[in-house]
Amino acid sequence: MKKYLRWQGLLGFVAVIGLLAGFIYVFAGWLIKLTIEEAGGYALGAEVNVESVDVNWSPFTLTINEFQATDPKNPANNMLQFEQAGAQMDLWEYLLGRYVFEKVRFTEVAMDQPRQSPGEVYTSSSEDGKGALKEDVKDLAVSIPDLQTLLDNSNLITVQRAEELETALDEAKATYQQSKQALPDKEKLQAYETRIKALKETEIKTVEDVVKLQKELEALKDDIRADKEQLSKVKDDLVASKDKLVNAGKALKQAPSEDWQQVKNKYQLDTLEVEDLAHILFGEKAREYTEQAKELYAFIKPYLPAGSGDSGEAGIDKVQVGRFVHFVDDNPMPDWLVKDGKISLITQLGRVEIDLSEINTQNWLRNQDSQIKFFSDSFSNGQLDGNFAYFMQKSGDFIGDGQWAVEDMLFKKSEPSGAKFSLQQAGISAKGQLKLNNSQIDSDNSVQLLQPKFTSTSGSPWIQEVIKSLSQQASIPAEIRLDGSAFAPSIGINSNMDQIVRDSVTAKAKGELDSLKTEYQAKLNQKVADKLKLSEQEVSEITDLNAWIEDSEGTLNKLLESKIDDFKEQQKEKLKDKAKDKLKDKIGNIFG
Amino acid sequence: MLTQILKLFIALNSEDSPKQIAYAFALGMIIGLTPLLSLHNLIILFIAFLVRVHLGAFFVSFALFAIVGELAEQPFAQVGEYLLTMPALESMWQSLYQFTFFKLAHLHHTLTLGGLVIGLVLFFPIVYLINYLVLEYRVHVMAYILKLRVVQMLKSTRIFQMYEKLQGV
Repeated sequence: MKKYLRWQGLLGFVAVIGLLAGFIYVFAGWLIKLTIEEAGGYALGAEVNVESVDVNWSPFTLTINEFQATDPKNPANNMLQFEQAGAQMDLWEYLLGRYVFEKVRFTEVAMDQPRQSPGEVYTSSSEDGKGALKEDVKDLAVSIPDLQTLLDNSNLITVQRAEELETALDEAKATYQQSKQALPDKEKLQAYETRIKALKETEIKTVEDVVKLQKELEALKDDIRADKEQLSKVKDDLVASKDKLVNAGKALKQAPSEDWQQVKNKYQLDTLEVEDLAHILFGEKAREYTEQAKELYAFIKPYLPAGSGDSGEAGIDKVQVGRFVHFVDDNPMPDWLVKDGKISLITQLGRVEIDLSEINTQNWLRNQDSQIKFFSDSFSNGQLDGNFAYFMQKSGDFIGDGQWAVEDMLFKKSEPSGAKFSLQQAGISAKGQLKLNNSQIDSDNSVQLLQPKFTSTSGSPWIQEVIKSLSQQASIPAEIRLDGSAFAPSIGINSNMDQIVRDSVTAKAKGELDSLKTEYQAKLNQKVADKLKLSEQEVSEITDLNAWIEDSEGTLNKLLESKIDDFKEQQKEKLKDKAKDKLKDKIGNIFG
Repeated sequence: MLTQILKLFIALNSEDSPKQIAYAFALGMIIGLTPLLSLHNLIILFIAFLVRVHLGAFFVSFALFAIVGELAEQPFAQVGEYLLTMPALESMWQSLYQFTFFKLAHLHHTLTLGGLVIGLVLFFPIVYLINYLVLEYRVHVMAYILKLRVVQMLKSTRIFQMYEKLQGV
């Protein structure tokens, strides 16, 4: 036996075990502190600090002092911090591979608090979408237009039409002047009459006289025809000019109405639609809370043992490799369990006390719901009360159900918000219920804003009007519904806020708009009238000239067609008579 | 660790039984491949101290295989997961689970079981392999190694001489 065993080796074994046990006993606190800082930092991607960890061996209790977890997206702040966490742990269960906490107490838990010095960030974090959220809250650009701005607008149809009329007027004037100069005057007409009279009185004795007369007649006719053609051209020009002027005048008369239509479309004066204010106000808050829940879940997820249905998700870092596989036991226990817990949470609105009972992720083992109750009697001067219970089934299905209510809460921002539209102060009463089925959320919430006061940084008089009207409301109710994925829920908001805006502000704005319309159109009409007056004068002059032309044309036609032809016939007849007389004389001489 | 390496070196070049070195190496391997703070490791440590195996080889092996174990955590856990969730073995695990020792030894932990099973499977092949390698070393390599200048220098160090005295070589 001695050949195989060395009994003195037992001393060495005891010494090694003793040293190991002694090391653990003495340095347990330091080792746990180191583990929390290293594993937490690895999982979070940012510095995790623990001031100290105290270990009490009977009963086995861990006390973590001054815990701070840096926010990787904002290293100047802590994502989570608490003053003290005490956990009374069942050591025997721990040795069997389970984490069973009889009592857990967290004091002064707070999120998003500034650090004394910025924490180290180990991994670069992606954009959290907060910026995009802010961008979603668009500027409320709707505003009642200023009259002078409208009138100074060079794109006004009226201005364009007035310019067109002016051009037409100038053209018409030029045409009129040219026409007047080119027209045969009265003297010229009289000269024609004198020439015709002279021709009529011409004595024709010989055939040469006839030829000469014919030539003079043709010359007179050519002169008259030329003038007639000139008259006809002038007449056409004047008619075209007049038509152009009349059309431009008509277009100008319609221009103010068309301009008003354009202004109404541009400034949405008909519909008076504003941005969906309820979505901006309530949606932003709902998204904010969802983001916080998501961040909190991401923080604690690495510490949650995988459930039976969770075979490990790619891309999610695990703090530990491997897991305990538990089988049916007389006294089944979850992998981890918090039997009784209390958290004192400091929020911006006040201290919230949270009671935890039977918290674990394997509820089917003990067939008990996990219960979370929260209460605050100083939640921004009001009262908060709520509870949430969940049950994790063996299949991995998660079913949660909760209710919450807030009464007489006073919401007040200490400083004016820089937002385009924000709630500055209001009394809030609200209640809601929440159902979770795996990662699907179904939540209905109702909120009453009492005596709300809104603010805006927008200089738009329209928004100021909206703010004023909303601030005059005694209460503004809203129904907020969340459904879909719990981490990116679709948020439906039903509030009569927009209706209040439409009802009150629209009515008020309508009078202003009507007077604006009247004044605007009066000013435009005035602009139009001067031009139209000028154009009408011009048209009248053109019409007079046209009448004179037509008269002259008639005179010329008469001269051409009647008198000269008559004269020609007379001269022909005279010549015929003379020829007959000559023939008679010759015949008389022959027979006589 | 340098001390342990020297001890191993001395053992390799001494008349110590190659089996003592081989078994020590295999025991060290099991501790190295499985999570350190486990009940079965306490037993292996106890055996290593009590049975006449070469402690230097045991600790060197533990250090070497601890690195292997760290690198191969995932596949070891997968082996454990496979065994613990195998339907054919469920009744066996169910029976074993009723023993407190089984739970205290964390044999229902995937990494512990996976590492331990792989360690146990490799135990005798490692014993055989190391035994063979030591014998071959002593026959073919030892003389050449001892002539190396580095080894001569090492042997001239005070620590080596001190251990020579202690070992009585």
